[in-house]
Amino acid sequence: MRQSYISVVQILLLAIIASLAMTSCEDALVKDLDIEDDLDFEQRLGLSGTIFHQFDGDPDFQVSGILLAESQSIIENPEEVVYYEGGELNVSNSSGVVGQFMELGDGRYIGVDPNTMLNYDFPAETYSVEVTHPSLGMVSATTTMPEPVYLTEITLDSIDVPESEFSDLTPFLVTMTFTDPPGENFYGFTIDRIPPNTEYFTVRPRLQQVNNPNLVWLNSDLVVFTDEIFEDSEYTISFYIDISVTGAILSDLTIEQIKSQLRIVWSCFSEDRYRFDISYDNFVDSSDLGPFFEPVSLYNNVENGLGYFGAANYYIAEFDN
Amino acid sequence: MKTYTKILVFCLSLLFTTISLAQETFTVSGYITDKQTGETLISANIYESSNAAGSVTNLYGFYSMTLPSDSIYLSFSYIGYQSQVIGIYLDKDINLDIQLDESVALQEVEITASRAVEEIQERSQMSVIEIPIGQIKRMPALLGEVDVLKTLQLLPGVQSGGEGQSGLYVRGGSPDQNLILLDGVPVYNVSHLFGFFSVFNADAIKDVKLTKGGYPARYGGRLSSVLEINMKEGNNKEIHGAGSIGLISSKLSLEGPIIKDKMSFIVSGRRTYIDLLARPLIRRGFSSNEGQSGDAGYFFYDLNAKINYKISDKDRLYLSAYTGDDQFFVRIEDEDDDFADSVRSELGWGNITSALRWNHKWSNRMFSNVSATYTRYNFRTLIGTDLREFDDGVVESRNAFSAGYDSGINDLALRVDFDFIPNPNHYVKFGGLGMRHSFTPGEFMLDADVVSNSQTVFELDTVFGQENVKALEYNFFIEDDHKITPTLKANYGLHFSGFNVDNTNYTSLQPRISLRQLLPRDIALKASFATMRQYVQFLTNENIGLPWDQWLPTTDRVKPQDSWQVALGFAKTVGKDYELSIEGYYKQMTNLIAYEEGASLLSVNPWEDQVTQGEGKSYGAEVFMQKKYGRFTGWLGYTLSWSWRRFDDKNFGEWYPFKFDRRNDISLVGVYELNDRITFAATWVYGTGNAVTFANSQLPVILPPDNFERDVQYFNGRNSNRLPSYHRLDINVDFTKVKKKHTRIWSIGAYNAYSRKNPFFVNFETDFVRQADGSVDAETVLRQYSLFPIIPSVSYRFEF
Repeated sequence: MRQSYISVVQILLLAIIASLAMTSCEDALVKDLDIEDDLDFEQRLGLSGTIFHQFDGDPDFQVSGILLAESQSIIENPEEVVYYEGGELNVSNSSGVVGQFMELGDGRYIGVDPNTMLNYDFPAETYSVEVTHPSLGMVSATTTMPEPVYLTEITLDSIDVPESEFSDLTPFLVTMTFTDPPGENFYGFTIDRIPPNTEYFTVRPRLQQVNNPNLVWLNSDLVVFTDEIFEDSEYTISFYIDISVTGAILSDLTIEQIKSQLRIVWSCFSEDRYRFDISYDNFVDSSDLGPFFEPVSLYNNVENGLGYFGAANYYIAEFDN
Repeated sequence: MKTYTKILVFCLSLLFTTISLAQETFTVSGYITDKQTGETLISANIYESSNAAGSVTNLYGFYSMTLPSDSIYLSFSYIGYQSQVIGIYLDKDINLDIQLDESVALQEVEITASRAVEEIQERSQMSVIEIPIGQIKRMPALLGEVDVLKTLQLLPGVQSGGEGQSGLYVRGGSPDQNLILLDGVPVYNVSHLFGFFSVFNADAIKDVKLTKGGYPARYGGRLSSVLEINMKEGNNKEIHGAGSIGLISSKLSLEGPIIKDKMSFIVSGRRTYIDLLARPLIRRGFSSNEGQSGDAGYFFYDLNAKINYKISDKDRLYLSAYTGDDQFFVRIEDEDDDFADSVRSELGWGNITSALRWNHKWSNRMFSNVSATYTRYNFRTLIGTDLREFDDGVVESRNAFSAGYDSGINDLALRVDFDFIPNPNHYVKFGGLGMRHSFTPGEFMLDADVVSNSQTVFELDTVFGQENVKALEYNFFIEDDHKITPTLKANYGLHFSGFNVDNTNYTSLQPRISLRQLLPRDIALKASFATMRQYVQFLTNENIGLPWDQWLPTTDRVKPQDSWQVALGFAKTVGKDYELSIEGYYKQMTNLIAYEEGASLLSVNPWEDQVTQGEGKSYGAEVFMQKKYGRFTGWLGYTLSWSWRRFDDKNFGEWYPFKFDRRNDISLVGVYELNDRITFAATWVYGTGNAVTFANSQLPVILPPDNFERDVQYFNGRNSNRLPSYHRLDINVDFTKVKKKHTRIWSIGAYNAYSRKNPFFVNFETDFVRQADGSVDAETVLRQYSLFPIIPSVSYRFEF
């Protein structure tokens, strides 16, 4: 009897060792797939860029730009990207060509008049761009510049919070009010620093995580949202920013001194630009943690190609005194 | 709603018209049990030839037949048992309990979609498969660990999620759309070891029945299938036991009478022991450096227990319970005189279920069961670090942090079911259920203790996360299995369900009907239509299924899921040994729940903000050919299917293939008894590869405000690519020897016998290849990782 139990144990141990040996054998578990055909890759011309209309504030804050590049199969080296330098690139509206982009090389075009070196301005209108590639054919995209929407009020207030020894940041409350025009509209804003001119201190703002579920805080520190919940009415957004100061103690500064170095970049986006921003942000997030995230379909509004063509108007808003 | 009302009126009229025609009849009723063990036999057949009347026992072994007063011969049969024919003169209501003797020749080696006398073409219901547990025990299994759910994956219309996974994907549905009942109690997580094994211990199970369409009205609450698993009641004649020693676990079961023929018990336990074997090595590994120590391990266990008590001929009580848990832990410590540093991590999940059931025979024609049930599923994880510095043995500074996460669901329910058998042409079931759900969608616990200069400078002990939700689910049903003419049979009924959560009330009336028309040459034409509604669901990432998938309720924002399914099929017994069924189905689902694109499993945002609801559809055909008798038994299953999903916020609102859309699925199963001592078994499966999303294009784009280039990737469409197909051969040989006091069985087998590299996970990776000129080139490859090559197994089983 004892002998048979010993045999049982011996057989079990041998089986365990054999199983572990097999499962740990990398050659038995890993192989490279030949998937070039399965990937169904079709090369296309990539077009990406945004045209701007700046309706107030400092000029030349943002420059209209477009990039042209040939798409590559995912298995190719991304550093060997082929840019398309096809010469002329025009943006048109219903009345014809309105902006000739200047070619900078490496597929990059900017909306600057080569003669005056001034930015092209694209007021509210529908615009399209067309590029013909000798082997990939013609790609085109259309977008609509939204009507400008002004902030009717913008305030900054200090708030009373207990001091924390773990943070030297102090939160402030920002409120912005505007009236949403008819139709579907897409907005965005970011808080920006005005470099000090003669002041001895420097104020540095940072957006706090936005808790309003209607606002989407992108990785680029841009907050975007739609008018879904306040369509065609006046709306006030409140959010917190953290402020740190160098060269002075924050509590020694007046609120006016703080405001003097802060500004809001307020934008109205075309739907194309908004959709691409959201999908790109999701794409970046999903790249970080692989299988824990849902795959993201990047927005594409380029006919016969890949990428996006969007429009945005913006202005620099300073705080009310 | 008007249509439903018309259907209800029609059904009830049909029912009562026919019942009223029954005259001068008497009823014979009772229980059918196993002669050796006293276990009740579920779905045993009763047939009376002169009236061409038949019936089957219910879940508790009870039967009832009402027949005209006359001399009758009743035939009692059950697959694997010797039939009995009893002649009686029926001039009054009779109570007749029957004990059937197990057949030596057949034993329980057949899989059957019906039972011996009631051939496949006799039943009105379609899309139902029952598997005797004896069959499951003989099938080859991963590491020799017999698994009920893995066997179900070999049936047409049922798919596995991937290599080694125990989740069931039934007719294009997802695993949470299966109502899995253990002794009538829902089990919310059926997986051990991340899905490689199921929680059901075959030694404690008596009966397994899967309904994948054409649902009778008694079922509700899930869209895709109902899996009923019933535990053994325990031998009420004498003490018996069984056990096994396998590669990863051992099992032991004990059953026997507490009061002979009146009260019995069964206790069955299983535990893995790889942690016990490996821990000495692991501990030694951690302690290789001075001052260091550590421990790590993983194990799971199950414990099933049941007691039943025959109070009288009319009353029986059953108390059953199950508990099982998975535990993974790591602890590492490093310390000397000046400091101590420790890291710990724990992960665990498990179920508890229990049921108290009371059977009462009100009359020869009326039987009831009242069940009070409790089920709980809990997932928890904890990660913590603790760094201390000492000064003369006193803690001078400390940084201790720990974070935990807890989620789960528990239910309390009361269910009442009645069986009313007015005559052989009707079998009426009606009843209701009230269930209180309590959800913990996700709770985070943070603890911190920071000491500096021997002074506590920061302490934190907080719990945050999503609020617990309580909800009430209820349903009522009535159904009739109605023999309308000698060739036309129907099962029709209504299921009404409701769900109350956060002052929002949802209700649904669901008509169900199955029809069977006998055609010439004994071919049965079957059709069914059923609507279903589901109020609880789990939220899972399509890429990766983990035990922390959350069970979540319908809320005022998240609507309940609905489906309807229509099926049409043929069934026939071919020769005397083979059964053939062919079914086609179409299923439409609405309000399916899924993560939005880019949403994260790991996010602390409210789950309702991360989900989107959409629709799904699946359709296909299933062929099932089985050989039920003889030394060689087995089946061939083939499924041709399509399954699609559409969400407004995913894939730009376009339809896309479900991840488990599988065009072709084949399973071949064979068991051959060479003699009384040696039995061979083999299974071979083939399935189209899972649908996956691969980016296929890359390019740079520019984004304001800086217009810097960023690399992005595009794909042709969600789930538009396929992993390589899956196929696998498993083999097993049982060597049985009957000894004086016990029977021993050696099982030797191999999982994935020809070591096919089946895909488990694929990933784009970059290889750096040195060229002839010394330069290094980067190459992107899609690398497939497999989980199991050939896995030999051996196990030793014994029964006494």
